[in-house]
Amino acid sequence: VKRKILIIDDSVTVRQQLAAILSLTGYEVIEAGDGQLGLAAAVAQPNLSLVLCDVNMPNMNGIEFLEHFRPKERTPAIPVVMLTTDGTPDAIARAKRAGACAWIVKPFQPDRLIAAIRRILGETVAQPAGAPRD
Amino acid sequence: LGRSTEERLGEILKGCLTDLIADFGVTPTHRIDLPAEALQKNDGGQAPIAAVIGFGNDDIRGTLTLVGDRRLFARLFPRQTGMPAEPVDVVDWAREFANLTVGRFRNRASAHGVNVRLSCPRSLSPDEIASLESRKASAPASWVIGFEDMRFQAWLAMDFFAPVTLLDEPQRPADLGLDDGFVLMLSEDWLTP
Repeated sequence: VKRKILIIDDSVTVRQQLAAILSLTGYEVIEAGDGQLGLAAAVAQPNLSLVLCDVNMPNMNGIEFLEHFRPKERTPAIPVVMLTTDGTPDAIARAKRAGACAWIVKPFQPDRLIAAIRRILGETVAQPAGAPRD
Repeated sequence: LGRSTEERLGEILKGCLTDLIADFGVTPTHRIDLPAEALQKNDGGQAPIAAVIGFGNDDIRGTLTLVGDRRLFARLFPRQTGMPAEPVDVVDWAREFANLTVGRFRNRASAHGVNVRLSCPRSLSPDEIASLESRKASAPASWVIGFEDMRFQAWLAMDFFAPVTLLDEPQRPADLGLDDGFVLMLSEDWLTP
């Protein structure tokens, strides 16, 4: 059974890019265009393995999504990886408090993204985070 | 030294834009600081596209507008999907490109002590693009980026409501690791042994 990943991003281009990469890697992909839609999709999905979430989005941003999602989710907790242009320490600290498990700064490197997801899902031992770019 | 905060922020943003273009595989063949008038209509017969994004805090408000040849935005389109960019994708990509540019600017400005929040990027309608001429006159900084016969223009407008201090040296070391593509694990609790 393929593991299911929810992508939340207001950019169609980014969702398509992520969906292509994740599908090629063997994951099933669900997409949502903002935090509100993502929250509905995440709560409705019984077997979600991971959420990839943008931060700067209309209607409900990624941090607000996290703050709403954590109390609603089923157990065990679903890892949420933030994927955003924001690299400021304050934003990262807020996401950590809200329950994010990892933070990736856009534009992302596909190899690193997949390595991080596999590491979080326990599928393989990846290179240490922050390893030099290829 | 001796440059205003506005000029220095403009330089930071211009650097972000130049670096981002290079990251997506395009080396400008024209100087990035050509005068605005250098943007001639040579768009392959297609209407230009434009995206705008705002940023600010209590002391400063700014907008970056990218407008230009959709062929160049298509040339910058990420190639991971292996699919050609559809017209609607290129418009979306222009918004995301503006978001990436100002997102990088926010990170670099933050390292120099200026923290700003971003608005969500949006596309401009053909009427709004046509009215950009008046905005161009008030923009303190504008740059033309060219590749082969394709060009787009970036306009930066900023308003200051209080003095803003931009530190000469970054507060944080450059190797903090929060550069593009970096993966930061926030909690080891998520890792499966």
